[in-house]
Amino acid sequence: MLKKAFSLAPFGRYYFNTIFIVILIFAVQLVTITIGTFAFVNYKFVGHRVVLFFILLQLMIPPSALLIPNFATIWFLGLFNTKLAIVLPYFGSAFGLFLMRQAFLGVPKSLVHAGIIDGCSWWQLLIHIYLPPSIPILIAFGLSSITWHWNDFLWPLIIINSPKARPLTAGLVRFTQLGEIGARWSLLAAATIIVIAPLFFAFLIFQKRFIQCFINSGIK
Amino acid sequence: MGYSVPFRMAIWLFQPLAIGAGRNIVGDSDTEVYLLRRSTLFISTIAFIGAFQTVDHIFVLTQGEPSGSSTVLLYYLWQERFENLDIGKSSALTIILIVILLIFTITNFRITEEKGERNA
Repeated sequence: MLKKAFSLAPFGRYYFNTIFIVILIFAVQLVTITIGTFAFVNYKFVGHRVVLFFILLQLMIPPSALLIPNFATIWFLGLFNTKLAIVLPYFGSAFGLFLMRQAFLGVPKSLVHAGIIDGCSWWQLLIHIYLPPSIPILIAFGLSSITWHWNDFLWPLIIINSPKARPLTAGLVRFTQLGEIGARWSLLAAATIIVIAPLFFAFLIFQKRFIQCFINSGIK
Repeated sequence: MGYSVPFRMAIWLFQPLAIGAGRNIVGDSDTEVYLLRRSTLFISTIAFIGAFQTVDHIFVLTQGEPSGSSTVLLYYLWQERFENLDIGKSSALTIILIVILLIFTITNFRITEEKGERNA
């Protein structure tokens, strides 16, 4: 049944697209949230409260209200139907920045001052002092980001028109609308297993390691 | 909502005990709440905002019945925009929704965070 499902839709292409999208989003989000929170936590500039709440505003706007303006922007940029169009709205993550802010605030100020006295430049402060205690939180954020973007359905469905850039979720929907499926639920179930299998097995394999990572980093 | 636990665990486990210096740490529930205030701020804000964004159940289950008593703000917004086609009212409702969430978030920050710990 899995072979039949594989033959009816280009799931290999969908897999590649999904993995590419998820990894790209997570990589860029890592960079933007760490550097962004470092700017908020380490420096005191005029209007830092205002800018922080402006960034948190991204969380408060209902995501469905952003679909059409995002579509217009992507269309204007000429990026319709590309993988870049799927990842672009998610590059700056307010959720991640908020989370990292709470993590960076937990680093004792005396440690930061010691680093400054020792002559650290800003990126050395970031890498050697702020980041190491925050690794479990980055891992938690990575878990939530990867699962969320693996399962993200509505935005890729709207912005993608052809299989060359379509991820697995939208691919599953198109698969269910094919005429050859009819009412064969077994095919549908096989396709669903194809979609959820990687995350499921990754979770099974890594769950013990993730918990160990959280626990080990806490005991200093 | 199910991701609160790893976040809370991660933040709590690396919280340095130096913050609680001067207090009786062992078995003191006030200190524990105090030590957890950063993760609590994060999770309470995210959960509150997330609660406002969950309208999927209302779409599927009740559609605002019986006679509008299960209509939440976001569902009312959708009704005004797509059923009654009142664009002005739906835009005003969006602003009201964001202002409510903003007031809650700012108040939460004000209450939870202490004076000297935000910046260098």
